[in-house]
Amino acid sequence: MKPLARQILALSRLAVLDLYRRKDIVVVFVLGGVILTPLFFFTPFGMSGASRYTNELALLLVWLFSAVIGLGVSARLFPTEFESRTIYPLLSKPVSRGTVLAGKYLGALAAALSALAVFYAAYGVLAGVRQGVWFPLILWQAFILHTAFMIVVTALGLLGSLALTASANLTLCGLLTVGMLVFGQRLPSLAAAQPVPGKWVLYALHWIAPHLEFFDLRQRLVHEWPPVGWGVCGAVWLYALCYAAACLALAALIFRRKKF
Amino acid sequence: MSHDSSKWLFLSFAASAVLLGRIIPAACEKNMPQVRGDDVLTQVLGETRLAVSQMLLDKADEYFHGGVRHTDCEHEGTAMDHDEHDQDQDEEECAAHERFDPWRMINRRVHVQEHRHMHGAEATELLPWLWAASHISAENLQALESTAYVLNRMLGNPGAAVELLEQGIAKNPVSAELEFSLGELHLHAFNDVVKAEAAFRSALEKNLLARDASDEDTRLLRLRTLFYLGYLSKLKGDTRGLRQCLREAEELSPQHVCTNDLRKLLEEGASRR
Repeated sequence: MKPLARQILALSRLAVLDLYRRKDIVVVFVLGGVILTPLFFFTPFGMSGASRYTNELALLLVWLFSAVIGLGVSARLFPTEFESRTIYPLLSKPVSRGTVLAGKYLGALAAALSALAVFYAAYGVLAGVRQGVWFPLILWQAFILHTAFMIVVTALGLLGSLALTASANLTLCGLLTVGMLVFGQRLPSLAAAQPVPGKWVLYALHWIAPHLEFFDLRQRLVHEWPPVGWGVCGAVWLYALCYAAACLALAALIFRRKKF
Repeated sequence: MSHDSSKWLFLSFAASAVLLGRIIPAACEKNMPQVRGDDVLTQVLGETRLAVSQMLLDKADEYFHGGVRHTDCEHEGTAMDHDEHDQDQDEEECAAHERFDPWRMINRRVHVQEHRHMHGAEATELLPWLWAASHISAENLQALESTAYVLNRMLGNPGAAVELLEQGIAKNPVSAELEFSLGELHLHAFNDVVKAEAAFRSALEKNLLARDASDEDTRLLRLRTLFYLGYLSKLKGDTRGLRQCLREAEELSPQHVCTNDLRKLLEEGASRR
């Protein structure tokens, strides 16, 4: 293995180990179980057979927890190193700042994606047991696009961790994520309805902000609409890669200029 | 400031607040904005509960349309019931937008843009939201009526619908709408003319007591109630009762479809004799 790849792999492993050492996923599963278990046994008006509401709530929790884990892991990487001053011994080793950044990012992404895979596997089993449909194509597409979401969100969290304080980073990234998921699709129509200064701000946001709603296939999955074309999936993935690359390039620029 | 003086200051503030809370309603009884009998907490939570109930009802509506909100739906209806000209125009407009906006183009392909309607047993999926909407706020009459409709018409469970409406009437004793819905249910689902007539009579009484009698919805409900009462009078062979309903309907709106239908019922009765 080449030295650069070995360095990146070593740095990535640390981030993954950190997530599992802190048992975030166990907490998330217990919380999900506590919320969802009573709903499985709920029979409104004595009539059973409804399953979409539990699917929707389960997917909402998957999205919420994956965003929290993705942002939490990526936003924690550098501030803890700066606070405990472990960044000095790390940079004194023969690794470039770019390698450290890439290693940290890939580690955060690997940790977030491993958690996401566990969530989707649990959801697939849950839906299969309740509805008898095991891992349909739309579920795979939802997972693939959700991984693209994690690519963007972890890149944003990492960029924010170098430019802002930890709390400001988490707040801003959280607001941006929720805001874009809720209003992203409606930004052009919201902008069109505003008077001039607000209109241009919303249009700018529409063009610049990360369109995280592209990655959200919950509506199709819950209401059994047909899958999206693979060309569209490819375009969405390309968008995610470009956006994450832009965030990482900016993060690299900030990290290179940062004085400790 | 010492710890003791802070404690006394806090206690005196709390005592003053309680005292003012007692004095103000007694002193300004006629000028109080709130409805007497409800405390502030009940009023605030009451409004919140109604808003949450409405949100849940909107969610049920979204489920009915295949998870598509009306605000997000760009093509009304499916291709089958859509006007061809409008659809062409829509597509041209969308294409024009997409030429300049790739994000919009992706969104339109990822998120479903047209809606569909639920049919038959599939409507079970609506029940959790409707149950929550009708139980969170008993004041949400629309939630109660929609739930009763889904239970009776879509899922064939009129018994549950009657039970729900009766609970709703117990909690909303002045609601003419719920009595009317109950009357329709007794008549159409159970063919129980006695219970139906009782419910329609009660709906008419409550409608006459309605605060805003000139309101269009109130007037329309009264006309529809009069039509049913006239119809039930005809079934009993009570021409006098039918005439009375027609007279009241003519006073409200002489050309309304319900008034015309009552006239037809009277004419049919007369021609048979």
